[in-house]
Amino acid sequence: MDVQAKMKNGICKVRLVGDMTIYNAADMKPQLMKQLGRATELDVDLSGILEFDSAGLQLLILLKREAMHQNKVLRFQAYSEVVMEVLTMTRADTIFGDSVMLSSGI
Amino acid sequence: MNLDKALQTFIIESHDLLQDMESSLLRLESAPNDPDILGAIFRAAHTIKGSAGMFGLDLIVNFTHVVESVLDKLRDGKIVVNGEVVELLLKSGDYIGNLVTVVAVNGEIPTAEMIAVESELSLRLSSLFNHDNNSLSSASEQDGVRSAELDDSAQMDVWHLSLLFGSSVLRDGMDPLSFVRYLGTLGEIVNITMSADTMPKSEYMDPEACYLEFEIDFRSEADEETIAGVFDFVREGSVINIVPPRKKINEDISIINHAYESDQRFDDVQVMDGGLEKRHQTKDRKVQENRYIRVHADKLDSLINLVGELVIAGASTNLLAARSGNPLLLESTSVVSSLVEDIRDSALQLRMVPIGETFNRFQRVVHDVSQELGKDIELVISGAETELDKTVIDKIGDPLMHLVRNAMDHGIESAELRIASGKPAKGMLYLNAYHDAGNIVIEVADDGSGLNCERLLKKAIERGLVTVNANLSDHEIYNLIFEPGFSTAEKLSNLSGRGVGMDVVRRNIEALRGTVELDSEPGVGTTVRIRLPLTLAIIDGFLVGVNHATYVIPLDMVTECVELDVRERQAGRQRGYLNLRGVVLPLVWLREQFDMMGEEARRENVVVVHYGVHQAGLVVDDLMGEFQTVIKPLGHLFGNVKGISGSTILGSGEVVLILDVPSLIQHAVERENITVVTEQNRFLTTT
Repeated sequence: MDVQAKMKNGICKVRLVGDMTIYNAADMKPQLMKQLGRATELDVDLSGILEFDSAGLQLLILLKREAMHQNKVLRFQAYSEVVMEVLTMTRADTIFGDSVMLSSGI
Repeated sequence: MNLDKALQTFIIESHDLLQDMESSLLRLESAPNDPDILGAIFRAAHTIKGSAGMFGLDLIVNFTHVVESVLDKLRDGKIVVNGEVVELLLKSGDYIGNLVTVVAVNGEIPTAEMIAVESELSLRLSSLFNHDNNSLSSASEQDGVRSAELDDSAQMDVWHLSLLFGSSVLRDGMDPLSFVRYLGTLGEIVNITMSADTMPKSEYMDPEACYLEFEIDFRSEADEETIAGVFDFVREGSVINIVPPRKKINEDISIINHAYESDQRFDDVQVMDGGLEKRHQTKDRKVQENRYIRVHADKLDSLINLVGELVIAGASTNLLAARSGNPLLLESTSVVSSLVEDIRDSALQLRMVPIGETFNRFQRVVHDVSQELGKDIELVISGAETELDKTVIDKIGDPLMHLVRNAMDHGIESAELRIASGKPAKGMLYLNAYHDAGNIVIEVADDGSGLNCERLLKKAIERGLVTVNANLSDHEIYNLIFEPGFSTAEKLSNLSGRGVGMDVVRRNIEALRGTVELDSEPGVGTTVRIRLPLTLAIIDGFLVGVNHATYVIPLDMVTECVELDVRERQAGRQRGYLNLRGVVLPLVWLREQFDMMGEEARRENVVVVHYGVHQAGLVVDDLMGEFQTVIKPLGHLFGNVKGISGSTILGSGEVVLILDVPSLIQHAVERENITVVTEQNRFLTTT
């Protein structure tokens, strides 16, 4: 997994490339949190994700929730096929698409 | 509408959860930032909300949601825990309980009064997080959507699955998503709601642990076993609840129950009629809970009854075997009777419940009442694991409540008074329970000012309860408080002191074949001691013969048996007591007690019985040995007969009476006192 990030107009553009699974979740968590700490507005590009499982999904939920708690703007953009499949299956696509807070309610 | 079983389960579960929530809230006062406690409270509210949603009980969902939002903020440390917040949450919990009763149990709409309470609570709750209003409104929007979805899920042919994956499933190489994916191949996923509510803040979040939960509505032709089978590999550590479609529920319950009994594969994957198991428990609790099943009390009662009959039938078989003198038969019956004895013990054990739960309820009472009275009082509970019969536990709540309130109101002094008399400002209240000689003893003690002996006696004389020259020990004076119409409160308060109560307490306890007594030491405190029989159903008895009749004495109360010496016999009869190794032992002649005619036996025996601190000797003709006694209650007709507490049936079919030892002892002790007093009076008049 590769986390590519660059700042542009105060917005942090993050692109995730590679697998996002239980095998690298432990490595990824600090990397993602680091990116979140860098800016108040983030765009996360998910189109480069090749494998995606529950651990990956949890990391995205965590990222989204932390951003909410820190009053930051975080947008997910450009889902890869595997990510899209999971989000559609769990009906979480709408949640990730707009800014409804995921952690409240069930 | 016929309330289906699932709703019943919801009602019971909700009350349990509220109870948990309450005790956690009370613990929160002493440990305001404990994340475990905060988590437990949140989960309780969360589960109630989720379950209420399943039944479309929107009123409950809406209010609980507000509470939950506050709890969420508490958990994240955005709201600081203080007395006011706890107070508010306690009241909210009460209100949810009310709502459940009104809406779910009675199927009514809340009264105007309740709505007023609700809006006040809601207002106070929302004022706690006014800085974050937006998230609340968006959350309730989402919630509205959700309950609408859930209404759909109540459709007739839709299964409801509630999946909380264990935290280690990812590490064990399994992916919850693939289970959901596979489920999709068995039918159509109508609705799915995913959440990760148990996921902690980033610094505590373990990326390799699983926090995912799913609520799935699922339309499928597959049977339960197939659906449950999907989760075979993750059932350890996970909570999987599968609720069959409504129309199938009733016809399936028996099938499921059957499968449950005969096939242990259902061990952890619970196929439940209600699907309302507490999904959000900590792991330990989960393991524990899976080992419990909820059984209707009636079923237990009928089991106990059957065991009772078995004991009687067994006794009769034993008798016949003994008569036949066939050694093989005798051996076989003796094995059977020892098994019957074991069955009896474990059947009775089933009904035994630890008293802790009842005790814990008083934390709240003490909390509330001490605020009401403006006193600082701490409740200390010990012996919570002491077990006693469920029926007794159910009936002991009210008397205990009265005693606890009484101790707080009258027993424990105000803080100023306490400091003035050199005591710590904080008053202590103790609830304690322990086993003693086939009885359970429950103590309610305080470290207050104790009872004022003189004032009590004065009052008792005023009320005509005792005569002026009655010679009473301090202990006897204290126990006058249990006489009807006795109250010493100089100032009537809201809580107690209306002169009713203590006598009602005693009556309630006596109805359970128990006794109550009080000890007090001025300036140090008061202890009320309740003594209750462990069980109301079967006891070990000791058979004695008087004239031609047989009686049973509960074996636990028998200390020893001695032969009544011919020389002692005459003297004993005149004095009414016996010198037992230097101790005065009051005697009761059962022959006279029960007005029996007939020749006096050539020999008489004394059975020494004890109850509490008292001892007495029952004079009988024959000692006939131990016997398992199934207590059959006496009819109303015999309800007032003194000295008899029940009846039983012997192996021969003969009906015999069970002696009420406490009342016989009391009779003996009273008579002894009278003798002493009259002797003293005689002494006084002669001088």
